Order: sequence, then C-alpha cells, then structure tokens
Amino acid sequence: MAPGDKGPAPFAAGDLPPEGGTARAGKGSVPLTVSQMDSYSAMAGMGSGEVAKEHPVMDHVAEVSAEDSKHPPVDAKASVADSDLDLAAKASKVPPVVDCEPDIAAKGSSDLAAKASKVPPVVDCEPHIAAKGSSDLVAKGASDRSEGASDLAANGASEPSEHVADVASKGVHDLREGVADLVAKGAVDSPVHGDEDPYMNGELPGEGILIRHNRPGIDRLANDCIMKILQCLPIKEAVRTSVLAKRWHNLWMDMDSLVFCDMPPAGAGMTLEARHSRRFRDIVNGTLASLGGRYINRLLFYITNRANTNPDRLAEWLSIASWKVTGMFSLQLPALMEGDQMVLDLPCFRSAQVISLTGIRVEIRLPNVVFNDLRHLALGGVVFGELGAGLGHVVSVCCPKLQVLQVSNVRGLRDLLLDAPSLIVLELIQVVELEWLVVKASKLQILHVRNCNSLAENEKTPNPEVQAPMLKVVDWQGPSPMNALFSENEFLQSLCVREISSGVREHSTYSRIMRKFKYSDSLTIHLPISKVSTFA
Amino acid sequence: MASGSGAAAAAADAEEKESGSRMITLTSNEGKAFVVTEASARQSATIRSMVDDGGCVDKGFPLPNVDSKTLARVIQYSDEHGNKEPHTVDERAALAKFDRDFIAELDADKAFLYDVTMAANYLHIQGLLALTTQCVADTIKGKTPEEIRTAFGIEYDLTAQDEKEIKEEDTHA
Repeated sequence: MAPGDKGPAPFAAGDLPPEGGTARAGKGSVPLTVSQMDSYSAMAGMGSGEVAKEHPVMDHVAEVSAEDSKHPPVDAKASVADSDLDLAAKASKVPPVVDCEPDIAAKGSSDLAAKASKVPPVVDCEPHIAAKGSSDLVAKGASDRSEGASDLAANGASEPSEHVADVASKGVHDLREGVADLVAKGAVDSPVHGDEDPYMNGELPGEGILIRHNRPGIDRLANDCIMKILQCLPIKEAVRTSVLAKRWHNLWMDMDSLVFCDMPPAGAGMTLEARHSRRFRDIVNGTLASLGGRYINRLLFYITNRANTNPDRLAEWLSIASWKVTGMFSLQLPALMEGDQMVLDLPCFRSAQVISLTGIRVEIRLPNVVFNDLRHLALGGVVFGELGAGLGHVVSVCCPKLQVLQVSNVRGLRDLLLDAPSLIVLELIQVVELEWLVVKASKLQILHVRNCNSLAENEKTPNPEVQAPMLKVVDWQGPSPMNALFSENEFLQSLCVREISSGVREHSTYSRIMRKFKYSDSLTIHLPISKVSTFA
Repeated sequence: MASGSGAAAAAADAEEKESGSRMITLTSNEGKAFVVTEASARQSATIRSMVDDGGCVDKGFPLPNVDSKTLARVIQYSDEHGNKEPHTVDERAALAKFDRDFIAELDADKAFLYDVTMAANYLHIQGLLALTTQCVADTIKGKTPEEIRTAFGIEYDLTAQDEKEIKEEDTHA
C-alpha cells in the first residue's frame, strides 16, 4: 500500500480480526476501525454484516472500539435485531449484526451501506435483498441507458437476476457487501496513483477537501470525490472519462473496484441483448487490457445473460482476476437450466482476500493450491463435481487464513470435514445433501446451520461433530440432528433454534440442539405457526 | 460520553440517547456559528467520532473547509436525516422525496453542488455524499466527452501525443 494512501490496511498479514486492535481508517475514509471483515467475522451472523457499503462494505461500516472488537459477537447481538435505517448512524460502535430476516437484512444493510460506506457498495442483484442504497452502483452500471433515477435502476437490476435470487443467500449477499466495504476502505493495497497527476501531488486523496474556489467547474473536486463519482457510473463510461483531460486520464484506474454487469437495458429485445452481450465481452476485455499491469482492489462480475458465460472466456477472466485482484473477487453467473453443464476451474487467487462465487448448477472445481490471503469464501448454488479438491480439504489445508466460510444451496457436498484453526464464522445454508459434518475450529465463534436436512434425524448418518471451544453464537434452523456432538462450549452468548414446519414430522426436534448447551445469554426459538392439521 | 470503554452495544445506545438532546455548534470558515442537535451533527462521521472521542462538545467544532452557504445546506440535509427517524412507509417516502428535491435544487447550481459534495466528503456524511456523487454521475452518463467537458467546465489539455495513446488504448475497448 502506498504511504499516505487510503488508510492503513486494517489487517496486517496474519492479523486476525478479533484480536486486531483498533485501526482507524485513513483520513480519507469513514472512520472505521475494525475492518469489515472483522465485523463480519465478529459478527457472526454474517448476515448483514459490507457490505456493502460502502461498503462495503458494506457492513458494515462499523466502528468498533478495540475493546468491542474483542468480544464482537456479543455486543453486536443486541443491536442487530433492529438493523434499520438508523443503524448506521447509531451503530458507530457496534459491529452490525446479521441475524435478521431477509427483508430486514436488506433494509439494514443497504441503508447502512448507503449511509456509512465510503464508496457506493456493490451489490449483487438479488431482487429482494438488493436494496437501493447498495445496489445503485451495480444497478446503474447495468442499465447504462436508463436515466438517473436510482429506483428505476434498482428495479431494472432486480429483474434479470432472479435466477440467482433464491440461491444467493442473504448471508452471501451481506458478506459481499460487507467485505466490499472492507476492501473499499483500504484493507488492501490500492492501485498506485498516477505520478504525473498535478492535482494529486502534495495532496492525499483523503485530504482533498480544501475548497478550491480558484478552480472552475468540477475540477475543484478532489480526486477522491471524483473517484466516488466514477464509481457511480457504468464501467464503460467511467473508463471513457480518461479522454476528458490530463487529470482524468488515469483517474478511473484508481477506482478501487471494477464492476462488470451485463444487465441489458430494460425492455431490450433479443437482438439488442445479443449486441449488448458482444459489447459486454468487449468492455471487459478492453478494460482489463487497459489496466495493464495494475492490480485491482475489487473485481466483480454480475452476469445475467447466458450468452456471456462462454466457459473459455470466463476461464480467461478468472485467470486474469486471479493475479490482479488484491481484495475481493466476485463472480455471479446466471442459473443454468436443469441438464445444462458448465464447469469452472477456480484458479489460484494468491492475493485475493475475498472470493465469492454464485451460479446455480455451475460446477466448480477447486484447485489444490494454497490461497494465501483468503479470509472469506462464499459459494452459492454451485455444484461440486467428482473432480477437483474437496471443499473440506481446501479449507483445512489450503486456506491458512480463512475466517469466514459461507456455503449455500450447493450440491454435491455430502461431507464436510473441517480442520480450520483460523475459521471464525461458518455458515451452511440449504446444503441439503450434507450428511456428515465435522468441524474442528479452535476459533470458531459463529455457527449457522440452516436447512441442512440430511444432517438430521437419520441414525444411519454419522453424528455431526463440532469441536469449537470458542463458540458463541449458534443458529440452528431446521431439524436438529439426533446426536450432534458439541465440545466444551456449553456457555453460549446466543442460541437460536428454528423449527421448520415440515408437514411430515410429527415431533419437534429443536429441543435436541438446545440440550447440547447448558447456558446461553440469549435464547431465541422460532416455531412455525402451522394450520391446524386436518390429519391429526 | 465515555467512549473507548468498550461499552456494550446497549449501553452505548442508551448513552447516545441520553446525549442526543445536546446541542452542538458548528462554525463555518467565515466564523458563522450554526447550532444543531447532536443527532443532526452525528450524521457526519467526522463529527461523530470527534464527539465520541470526548471532543469538546461545548466549545463547538470549527469547520475551516466549509463556508457558511454550504454548511447551511449541509445542515438542512443532516437535520432532515438526523432529527427524524422514519418508521413508517410514509415517513420514508417523505424522506426520499426530501432527498429528491434537495438534489434537484443543487443540480441547478453545479458550483454549489461541488461545494456540497466536498463538504459531505470532508464531513463524511455518507448519505449526502452518495446523493451528490450520484447526481454528478447521472450528468456524465450518456454524454460525449465534449459534452461532459462543457457540462463540467473541464479544460481540454491533452496533447496530440496523449490523444494518440488514448486512441490506441481505446481500440481495446
């Protein structure tokens, strides 16, 4: 990271969040102490932690005091419940929490992002979740022709992404946002600033606040303001500002995130869409080529058009991303139809801190290589095929710094055996085929298991086993397993059990999980209110 | 407010409520004082952190980078967002309408819009900053470079050599 750049890196290498002391972001950014990731990890719920926004991101932008950061999950819990408009304003000390229902989470996180994040957070476009504040960037990027109104853009954005909506879980979304913010805040090295920029010399980006009345027009804005404006533009238009004047020539390259979104303009017919798709490819290739040897903080792809999912091209983009991205990489693909096949080989991202992949029925092959800096891995909707390394192996062996693992709606994952000393948050949502779960994680604080129905009930399946002495928050939704083993963590801060009305089971099973713990500061029980059974 | 004491979220929240009725003085670079509620001032993350760090709330906060006209407008925004907590759909809609009207008025005076943008950036009022940057971005959208230069008063200072390089790069895109 260049000195005087956008603030100290919240994480030094090897610096794990909970222990991380207060690190105030640089002058140019929102006061933010613990990185986004911290709040995530800390926060457990992973719910609405970065993201976005800003951020980004958002997540949460929580200002956590050093002391608070040491006990993140607890304090957060209280405030989480009402993540709301004012969360951002009020939560300056509280890591945003996560555990809300989707609609609430959306609201909370988006507003939060809008209010607190440094840059407009990037959002994945889940219709119900992508709220305005955070989705603007993408939404607008998507509909380059739609006029300004952000509502309009947001609406436009939600349409094409419906395929992924159900897959991409709230958690993943929030994660993304939160992390995005984190990254945006300068957790990672940002690209080098242009040397010959006369406006930049002698002026740190964050300090460019002196009003320059002597300069006419928009040029009186400091670079960091202009960067924020560029972030609001579709990538192509942002890149095109390079021809405006010398000052603008390399400005766009300093944007800390590049978002490629192929949302066709609303109402476009097939022809237009096809043309759009060709343009999309050209825009991505052209932009990546223009970057030359520069690194990029965040690189995000939101692809909704199947025409843009040519595997060879995706592989090429992935490969470029794998060495360019220093912060967050996110790839969101349209859902494949039943029977369609697509295989993506994940390359080795040596410096990315966050990787998020979403694509229903897209087969992912994990490499058996070390992801040195990876803190956060989110996988949604994907299929693990026969080939490729197992997720458990990759996490246990190849991700020495992984703190957050979110897996939702994936298929082909029957066993997950984790030995992950750095893991703080584990979220398994709708991993319906998962039969065997063994977690050995000495730092694990937050465990969410939702609707992993194969884990439960059947005496033939191996007992789930969780060895996590630091466990603070357990959210177990759906049927509880008969014989889960939890070690030495009888004192929880929060225990949430949710019974799902199955219509089949006669007996509730939620109490099984409750019996595993002797004590919890808070206990939440969700019971379905079912219609009176006519079969009773 | 004793910050940095690692107070639990609930305690911090209570403290905040308690102190929410305090008034805070903000002084523009022309020396003009503006008295605002703490809730309004807390819209600014910059001020918020100063307050929470035990800053001298009584003495007020001088803002050497913001002139009176800009500060007044910024306060108009933060009052609206800080003093009211929208709970109902109607209240939210009213706030959204306020934002729309607010930005529409600013948009008509670009120089003032830039001033407010910079002030929002300096004060870290994220909602306002998002509003203004989005507004500028919307103006850029769909325009040719020449139109953008005209709209924003950007002086064309690229040399022929620069142009040539840009053209070459542009062929990629």
